[in-house]
Amino acid sequence: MTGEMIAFFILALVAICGGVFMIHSENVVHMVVSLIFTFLSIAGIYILLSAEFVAVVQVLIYSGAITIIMLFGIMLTKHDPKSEKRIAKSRILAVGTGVVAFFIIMFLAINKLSFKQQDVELYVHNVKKIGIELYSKYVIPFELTSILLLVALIGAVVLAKKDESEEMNEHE
Amino acid sequence: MDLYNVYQNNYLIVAVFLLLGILLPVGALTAGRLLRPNRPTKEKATTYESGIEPFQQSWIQFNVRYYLFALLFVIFDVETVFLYPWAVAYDELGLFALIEMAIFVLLLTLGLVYAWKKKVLKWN
Amino acid sequence: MELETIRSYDWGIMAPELIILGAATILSLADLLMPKKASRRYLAIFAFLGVACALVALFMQLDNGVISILADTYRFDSFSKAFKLLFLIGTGLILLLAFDDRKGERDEYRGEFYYLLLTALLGAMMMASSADMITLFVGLELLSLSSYIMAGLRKRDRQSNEAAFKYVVNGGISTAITLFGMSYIFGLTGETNLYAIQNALGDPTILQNQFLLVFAFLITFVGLSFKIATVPFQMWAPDVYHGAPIPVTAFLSVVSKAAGFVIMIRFLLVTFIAAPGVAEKPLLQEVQPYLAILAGASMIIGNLIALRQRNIKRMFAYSSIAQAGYILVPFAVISGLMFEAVWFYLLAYLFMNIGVFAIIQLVTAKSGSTDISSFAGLYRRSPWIAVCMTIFVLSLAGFPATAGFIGKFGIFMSALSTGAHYWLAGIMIATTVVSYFYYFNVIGQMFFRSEEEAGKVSIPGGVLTVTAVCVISTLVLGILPHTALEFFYNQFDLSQFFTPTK
Repeated sequence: MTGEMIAFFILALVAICGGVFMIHSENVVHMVVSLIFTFLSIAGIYILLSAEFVAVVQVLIYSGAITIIMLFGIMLTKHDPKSEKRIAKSRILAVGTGVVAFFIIMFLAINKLSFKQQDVELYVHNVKKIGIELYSKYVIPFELTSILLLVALIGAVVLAKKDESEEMNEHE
Repeated sequence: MDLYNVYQNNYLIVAVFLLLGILLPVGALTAGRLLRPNRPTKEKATTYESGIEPFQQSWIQFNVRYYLFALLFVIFDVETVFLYPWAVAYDELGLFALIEMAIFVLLLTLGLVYAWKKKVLKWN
Repeated sequence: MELETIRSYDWGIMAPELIILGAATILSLADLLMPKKASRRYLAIFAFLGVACALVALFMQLDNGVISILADTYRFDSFSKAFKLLFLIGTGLILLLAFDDRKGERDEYRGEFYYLLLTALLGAMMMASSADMITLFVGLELLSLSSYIMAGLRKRDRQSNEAAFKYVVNGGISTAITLFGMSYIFGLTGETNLYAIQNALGDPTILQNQFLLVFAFLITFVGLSFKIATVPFQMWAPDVYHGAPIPVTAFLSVVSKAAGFVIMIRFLLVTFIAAPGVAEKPLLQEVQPYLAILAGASMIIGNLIALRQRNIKRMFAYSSIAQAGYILVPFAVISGLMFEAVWFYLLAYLFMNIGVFAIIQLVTAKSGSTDISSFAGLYRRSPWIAVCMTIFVLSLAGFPATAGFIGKFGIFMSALSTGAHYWLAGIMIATTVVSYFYYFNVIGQMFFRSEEEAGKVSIPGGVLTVTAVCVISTLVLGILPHTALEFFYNQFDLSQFFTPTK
């Protein structure tokens, strides 16, 4: 077993555990913290795959920005942990069977995976390669992304902003 | 292949640092737990509020404005992610890349103008 | 990249998209600069002019062959022009509807609606005119994101809030599933260009993973079925259609749905056309039973639940699930008639469904409720509106001499033409008969119930235009379907769809 394998197993284990804890936890803050573990270990897996830039983006956007959004979401809402209903046993069983079946199918499919010849030197000038591809070949989706971000910004303002009349009432 | 090992070994150091960072506080706290005497009383378990009796929940509801700032932050954060590979690869891309990025930034500036006009950036 | 290479592309071919983008940008600036209390109503006219210009630009380009920019990240071919036409016409009609939607005219976010509609249209158009996985996906997201916001624009309306929330949660899940499927396709081939993927799937080393490939196909299909609101992703439709403002509902049920079919056909057919399946048969043939089951289930569920609805918007939401099931039939059986059957039905569906929503908007605005009883006695109050509604409903039910009949007939023939799909054709007939009950319920309300409230329903100019265009088109397409089909045959070249440029 190589060091790469060991690292992969540890990271994968942390990622999965983070996901399971997130679903299981009753406390919302604990959920977010376990999600951070998942995000970080996925970033680690990207590094193992020589995708440095993607790993940094993962840390920056997901572990950083998205987590902050979630924490703010928690701070904004009232919640008392006792009010949640228990989930029925049968439902847990059904979901569990689904997960296991999905795992078996995917395992069978991935088990005998074969690829064409792969790039091995992804780690050399990783960011530069991405930059060249993105800004010469994928110009159109890139510009479309800026419109997408613009729409997201407008949506965020429209949906999350308090109405002005409501604010007026608050001041009085 | 040598370069690949260099790449991996660099991250090995990162991993070691990460591990140390996690293990040190855990180790210190566990050691403290083992060494200290354990006599809990009810008063010790309450939150310390400079002598004032604690009241209400420690979680307060935030103003929704904070959330809007967080949302804007995420969007401009994603924009920076696009800027970085652009800057790194700029030498090989030439003038066209500059135009591309100008359009991209212009469209997002439009978003900023929108937020400004809708008084999202104002704090009253 | 050299500036010369960039210049060598025919950027003029993107004119329709650029016009829409420009119109959206100008609209947003105008909305910001206008005084706060001014009515945003006339922005609709400007948006409509933008769509009309784009339509003219598209018509001027009809004679072009395949034009590809930057490795097919933008691709103009017969498929893209045929469907962009549908999007532009549909959005144009919806803008006219929105012009007369007086409810919430003074809303703070009325201006946003118009440019979000245009960005959604832009997303749909990019989905039609690209042969690259990344552009397709970004286009899909642009359409989805704009629709989520449009569904929730009426912030004071609880139902609108609920609609937006359900839409965004369901949409997020479906996007994740789509991306998961796409990631396997990309992972196996290492390409994002659809034709390159098609080519790579012939590679013998990749072929050893057929099982994973079939799996990737099905996952992507299930994820994309959200946009067209068929089983297993149909349950958002009734709540969202119910809660959203009526022009948005019309947009979701027509343009957004058509865009869903477009990405499904383009992405799944082009990439998998030559891929072999697990057993001897080709992959596309192997997955047919699953797709047929999903199509059948959509028809059955949509039509059966529609029977029990008292709310007119919910009823037509379930009806649109069933209609999407019909359109899925030619795709599921993959016959040679598929393109014309799908295109014609979507065209017919565009006119009849927008017509229905135009009249629902009129009648419910008058009565103030979306219960089916607001249609009671409509014939005595406003005979012309009742007659128009009858034509649309008959067309949706698939009665002869309407566009819906010709469309359904085409789908039916395509199901029979490939053989071994008699049961699917059977389900289609049976569910069509079931659908008569609820469609005729609407007609019965209009003609045979006594009116609950007096008063003629007056019809403003925008809605009048929409209704007239829709009635005429529904009848013309029903009686003289060749006008549209010949246009389609002249313009559409199947070889352009499956073969890469050069």
